[in-house]
Amino acid sequence: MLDAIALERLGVPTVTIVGDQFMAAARLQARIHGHRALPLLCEPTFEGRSRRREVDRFVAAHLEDIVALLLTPVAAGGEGP
Amino acid sequence: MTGDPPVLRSPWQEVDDFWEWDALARRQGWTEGLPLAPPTEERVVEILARLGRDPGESVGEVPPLGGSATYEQLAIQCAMAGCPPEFAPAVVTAVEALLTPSFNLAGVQATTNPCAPLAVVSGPAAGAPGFNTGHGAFDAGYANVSIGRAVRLVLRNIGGARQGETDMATLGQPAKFSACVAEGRDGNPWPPFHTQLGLPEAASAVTVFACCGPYPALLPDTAEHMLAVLCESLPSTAANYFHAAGQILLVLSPKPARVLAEAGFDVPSLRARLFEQARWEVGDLRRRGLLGGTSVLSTYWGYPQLAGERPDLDGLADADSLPLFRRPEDVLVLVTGASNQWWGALLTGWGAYGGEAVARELGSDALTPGPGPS
Repeated sequence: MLDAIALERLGVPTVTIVGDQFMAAARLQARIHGHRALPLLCEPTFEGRSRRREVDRFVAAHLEDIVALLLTPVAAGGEGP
Repeated sequence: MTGDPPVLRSPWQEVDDFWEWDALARRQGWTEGLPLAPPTEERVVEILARLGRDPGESVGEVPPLGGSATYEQLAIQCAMAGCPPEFAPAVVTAVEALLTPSFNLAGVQATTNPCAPLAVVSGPAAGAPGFNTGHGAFDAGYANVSIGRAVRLVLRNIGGARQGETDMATLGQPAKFSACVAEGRDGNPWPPFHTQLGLPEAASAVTVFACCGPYPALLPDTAEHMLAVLCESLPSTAANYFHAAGQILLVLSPKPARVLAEAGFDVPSLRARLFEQARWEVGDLRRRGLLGGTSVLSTYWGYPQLAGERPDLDGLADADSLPLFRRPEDVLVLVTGASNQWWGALLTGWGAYGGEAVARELGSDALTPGPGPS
């Protein structure tokens, strides 16, 4: 999360994949760190510890969503807490 | 800090009595349920005076929400925890250890695992008045409880750990109210605990380790019997070290520790023995269908970061055995508690995810009462 926020501040688009049980915490963390609109992609079974091939499979299945998020400018006000 | 009274920057609010304060603290979510002591300006200033630091100086940002652990805020949490000025340096040292990047406090705070940071005070400072290293070493003692409580309030109120919001522990555990234990100095046959983490023998220290609650181990009679019990008890597939390795804290009360020492064991040889003999048998795991599951969580050392260390499970013979830990030093050994019985305890860590033990040195006279009211 913090890496993604740092990259976004440098102008590097990111998408952070977050397990569904951590989505609320991730949104709160992004907001508190001043990046309310940080692009997050929810993965229902990710749990933050999946094997590489499971991550690859998820990314392949959601490639269009990921590319779309990377190409979407962060909404105005995204820097505000 | 100069000799002038410190200027506090935190917002303040007047209340008429304790119960109005109690309602305010609950409404603000500063407590998870237990009452808090009101952090009066006088008490906060007194704690700051003991710490001798500028109130605005910060130890660092506490994850996950990144609140700044200024000395003023740390003093406020100490005051609310009922932690007197003389114990505040231990709280600061614990927070410094928690913020060591390798500890991965952000993960410890957010995980679904019930682990919570335990603070272990060792060396001469553990002999300061107020520490309980006898009966109930894990559950009583003014110093133990108030230091542990202050650390927890730092994690909650500065770090933002809130159950179901940022702290996603499925069940949690009582150590999330307070978790601090002091090493017993009488009857401990071995060097202080922190020497296992590279600090000098003469030092005092606070060590933090994210772990689950104490699982009791009755260790009677002989050293060989104790070792047999431990080697039979340790291989638990329910513990995180099955899928994620990590560390474990073995706590021995002085009596079994003394018997082990008299049998020739020091900490390194005790660790080596447990590392070599407390193992999972491959054939046994296979018969039970527990060796290689369908997910990371059900596979021996399935945590991806251990991929380079995990053996080829398909290539193992039934007679082979699997270690619980990556190295003998992942077994930490602490001596404390009452000296007249055979009890020990096992506290499992979070695994290679983080929370592994970090020790920070503490002045040997840091926790003794100073002049003035406390």
